[in-house]
Amino acid sequence: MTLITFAPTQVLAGLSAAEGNGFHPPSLSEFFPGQLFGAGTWWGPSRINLIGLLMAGLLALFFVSAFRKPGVVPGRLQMLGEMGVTFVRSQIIDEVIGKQGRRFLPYLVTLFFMVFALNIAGVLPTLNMAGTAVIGVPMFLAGVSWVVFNVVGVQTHGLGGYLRNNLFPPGVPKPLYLLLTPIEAISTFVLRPVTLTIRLMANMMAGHLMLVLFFAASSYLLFEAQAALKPLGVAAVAMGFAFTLFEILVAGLQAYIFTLLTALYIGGAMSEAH
Amino acid sequence: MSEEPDEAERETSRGDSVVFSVMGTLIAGPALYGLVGFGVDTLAGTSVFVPIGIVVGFALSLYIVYVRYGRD
Repeated sequence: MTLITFAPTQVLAGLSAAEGNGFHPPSLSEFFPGQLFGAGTWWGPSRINLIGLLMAGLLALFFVSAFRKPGVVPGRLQMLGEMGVTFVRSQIIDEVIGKQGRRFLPYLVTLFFMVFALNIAGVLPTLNMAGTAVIGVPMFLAGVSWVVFNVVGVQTHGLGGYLRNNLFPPGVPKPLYLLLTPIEAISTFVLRPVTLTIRLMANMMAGHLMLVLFFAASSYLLFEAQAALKPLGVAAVAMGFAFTLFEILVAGLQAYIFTLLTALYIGGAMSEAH
Repeated sequence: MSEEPDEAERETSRGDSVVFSVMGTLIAGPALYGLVGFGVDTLAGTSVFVPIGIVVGFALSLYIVYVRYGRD
C-alpha cells in the first residue's frame, strides 16, 4: 500500500532529475536549494526550510488533536499518541536514566518525534527531502541537548563537582590527568554535540542521495537508455523501493539513537560518576 | 510496577548505549594528540610526530574507556 502511494512521485522526482540529455547523478547541490521567496534576505526560506516547518506543524497538530480531549477510553489518535509517549518513557527514559529521568519526558518526546517527523519527510511523496538532511536542524537540536545535559549536571553536582566528574576519571595516577583531561574535555563538551549532529545529518543526506540515485537511474534506464539496458531499469526501481523501505527504518532508528544518546548524556550528568 | 525495568536490565541497556557514547572519546584522543603532533612536526620540520600523536592519543582514549566503563 505504502509502495503504491509513494512510488509514482518518487519516480517522477527521479524523472525530473534525469530528464533529457543523459543521466544526471544526484549532487550535493540538492541540499542547497534557492530561497523560494524573500530572495537575498536572511529570512527567505528554502524548500527544505518549508518542509521542516510543515512537518513541525503536522506534528503539533497530531499531538494537539490526540490529547485535546483525553478520554479514559482513548480514541484512535489518543491511543497512537499515548503509544508514542509510552515508547519514549519506557524504552528510553526508564531504561537509560531510570524513574528520576521522567521529568525529561516532555523534552525527549518532543525530540524523538521532531527528529522522526523531519526524517520521514525524506520518503513522503512530493516532499522527498528530510528536514534533518541539512546541518542547521540537527545542529540546533544537538545544541539544545548539549545545554540540557550540562545544565542538569551543574544543577545536580554544582559546577565544580560536574567538571570533576567529567574531566577527571576516578582512580587514575594524578600526573596522567595532564594527558587525559584534555581528551575528556573535547569528548564531552565538543564531540558529543558534533557527533549527534553529523550522525543524523549524514544518515539522512546519504539516504536521500541513494533514493535519488536509484529513481533517477531507473527513469533514465527505462525511458531514455537503449532497449538492452531496460532490464537494469527494472532492477533500479526494485532497489529504489527497497531503499525507500530502508529509509523508513533509518528515519525511526536515527530518531531513536538521537533521543537515546541525549537521555544517556542526561543520565550521565545526573549520576555520581560514569 | 512490573513494567519498570530492574537495575540489572537498566545496566544492560546502558551498556548497549555506552557503545555510542565512547565513540567521542575514541575520536578525541587521536584527534587531539595528532594535532599536537602536527604542531610539533610543523615547528621542528619533522614528520614523525603526527603518527606518534595519533597512536598515543588512541592509547590514552582506550585507557579512559577502560577506566570509565571497563572496571565496573
